[in-house]
Amino acid sequence: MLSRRVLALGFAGLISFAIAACGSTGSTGSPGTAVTDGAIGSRSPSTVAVEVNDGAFTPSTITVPAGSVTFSVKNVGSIEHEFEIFKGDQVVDEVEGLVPGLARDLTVTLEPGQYTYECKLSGHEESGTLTVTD
Amino acid sequence: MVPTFLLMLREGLEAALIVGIVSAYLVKIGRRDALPKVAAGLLAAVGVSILAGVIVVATVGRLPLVVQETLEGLAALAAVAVLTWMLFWMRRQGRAIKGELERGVEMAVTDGRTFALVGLVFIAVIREGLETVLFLIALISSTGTGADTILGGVLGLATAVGVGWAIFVGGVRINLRTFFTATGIVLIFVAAGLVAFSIAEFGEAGLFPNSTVAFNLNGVLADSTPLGSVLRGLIGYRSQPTVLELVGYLLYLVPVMFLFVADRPFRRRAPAAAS
Repeated sequence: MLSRRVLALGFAGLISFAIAACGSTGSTGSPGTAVTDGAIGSRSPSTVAVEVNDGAFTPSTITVPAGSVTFSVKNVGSIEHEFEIFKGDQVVDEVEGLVPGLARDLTVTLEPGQYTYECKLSGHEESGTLTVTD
Repeated sequence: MVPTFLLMLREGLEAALIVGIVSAYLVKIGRRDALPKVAAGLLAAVGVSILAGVIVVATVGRLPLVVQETLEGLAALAAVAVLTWMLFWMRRQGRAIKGELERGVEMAVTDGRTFALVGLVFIAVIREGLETVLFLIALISSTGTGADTILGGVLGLATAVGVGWAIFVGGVRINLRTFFTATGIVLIFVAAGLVAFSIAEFGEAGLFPNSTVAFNLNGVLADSTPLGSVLRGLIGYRSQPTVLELVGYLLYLVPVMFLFVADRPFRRRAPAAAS
């Protein structure tokens, strides 16, 4: 009986992950990422390559048009880093667990505005400015 | 290799700690028969994490941030709830044992309680399990990472498992009183850390602003350093917590520690005055 309960728990966990994943396709719900109809949807998505070294992002300033953007972030440093996009104090989206040599993509839909991207690990100061134009 | 080792060690430590303590506890109260169920819960959590990770990568690529952070926050709170229940159950059980009785103590551990302990193991593993699986998939499929990186990850995970095993073996050996007290105190810190963690996760999900920093110990022991990240994995140590995280941590830690220690079992007092 117990093993059936454990199995049920396992399926419940699996199903909730799957529902959450499928149900949220295309929407993030985070501030600054609402997609409006029309012009934004018809632009081709932009891709930006970012490198993070110990102490700095390269480039440290990025400008992209509003809409879907893919940041391809690679750690060329010697310790673990992160790439987090902030609007003010609120995180918009992020990619963590960037160990040296690892590259991970972050695809996010952005409204026009001023953002920053930072590594928020304790003691880290890597940061840059992100401008999203109309 | 070292950063990946540390990351996997950190991710694995908290689950390993809980699995080790729960397993040792079951042995000490004469419920060794429940160990296979703990193993089943552990394997089920690993299996669900792998399955869910593969599904996510194959379909949407990743979970949206809000979903991910909310799920992690909820899982952390669920772990806190079960841990707190377990702490006070341990305390109550401890009080029921007078003196130094160790063997032959019939403790009423019903199947419902065993299920709750297995559930705790399941939650503890699955909490970081999905994120860890997604990380490993990214690691394996990335061209910029070599075998040494993956080896570092495997070693980190193996070390975490080793720590859990050592806690199990050590916990079984030490006497019942010391075990109850020591593991109780450690679990209170773990639970407090999880409260702070859930606040951080819900903040990232956008539920409330969470940016005011309470203090900065990065010059002393940043939680991104090797020792700091081990402490972070074990008891949720943060070198730069926000005010809300610190408040949450203390709001849990202080009352629960007081209640636990103040009514600690095996307190030596004159028999006539025993509570």
